[in-house]
Amino acid sequence: MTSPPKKPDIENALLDAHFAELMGMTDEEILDGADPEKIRAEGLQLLQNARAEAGRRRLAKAKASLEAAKVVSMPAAADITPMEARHYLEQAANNPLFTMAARSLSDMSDEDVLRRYRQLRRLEQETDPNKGDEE
Amino acid sequence: MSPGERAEARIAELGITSPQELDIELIAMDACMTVVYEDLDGCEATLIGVGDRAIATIKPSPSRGRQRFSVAHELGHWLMHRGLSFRCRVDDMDLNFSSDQVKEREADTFASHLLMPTPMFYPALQSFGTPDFLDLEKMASAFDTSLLATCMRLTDINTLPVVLACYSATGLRWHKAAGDIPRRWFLHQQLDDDSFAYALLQGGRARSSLGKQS
Repeated sequence: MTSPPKKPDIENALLDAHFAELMGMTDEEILDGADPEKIRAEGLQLLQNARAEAGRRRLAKAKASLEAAKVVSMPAAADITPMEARHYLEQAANNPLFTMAARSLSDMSDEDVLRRYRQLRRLEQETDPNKGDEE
Repeated sequence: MSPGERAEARIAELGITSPQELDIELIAMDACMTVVYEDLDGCEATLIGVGDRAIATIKPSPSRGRQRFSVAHELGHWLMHRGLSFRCRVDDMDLNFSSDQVKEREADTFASHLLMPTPMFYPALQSFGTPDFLDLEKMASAFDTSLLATCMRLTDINTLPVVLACYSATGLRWHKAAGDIPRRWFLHQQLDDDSFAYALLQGGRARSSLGKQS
């Protein structure tokens, strides 16, 4: 079974015609008396401005996220022992989904272990909200 | 792309053009890495990441420059070593800077370029000509970095014949030379007792200006 022939796309046809016209023009006709170096500099400036604006927007978004993160509380680790938390972290350390830079688990205090466990659970919940329901 | 180039590309992407705009917590958040400051046992900083989100825990320090470097270092790990597990930065800065572990050095280079990008650092350095320690303190203040990190960057940028060395009472701990310093030059294991460095080490008498020892 073959699909019905598509109607000609008028926008594409217009673009093709415009492109063909541009390709047929000489450099002088395209520049229309303007200085190529000036056009290049203006183009680069436009590009730089656009990049700077994109960067500013990213930082503004980061600032909003930073403010929001201040009110997020860490999930409690009341029902887990330090030993269970160590085991959980040990398993996570061997999973490529996780990134960890810390002291060796055997050298970490119980307090540090529980903090890392809470951080891990918070991140798991942020990346997969259903994860928090498993326990 | 080298770690330094990656860091500077990130700064350029964000449209940051002056040291005052180098808000490290914001730059980290842009990379989905939240920074928290909490006391840590034996570590300068730790990092934990799940998928594309991470939390860096930084040990509070009276030196803001040192804290900022730790954040930038963890960000380097987060962007370059995602999905891996490794040891944290210890809480001895000298040992951190003398670390020969590849990932640690990469993260240090990343941090150094992130906080002191060449397009900002080089012109600032040039304005001092041949900087002395007072000038370097001004640079550190402008970039909100520690004096040690600033000196490391000065060595790294390789525009002046600099050899940075760390000595303790027992001798040379580590050193770093600018790229153009001839390899055949070497440092003595012990400080000359007629040197400014010896006076600083033994008596805490710092000489801020440049000059030859008598």
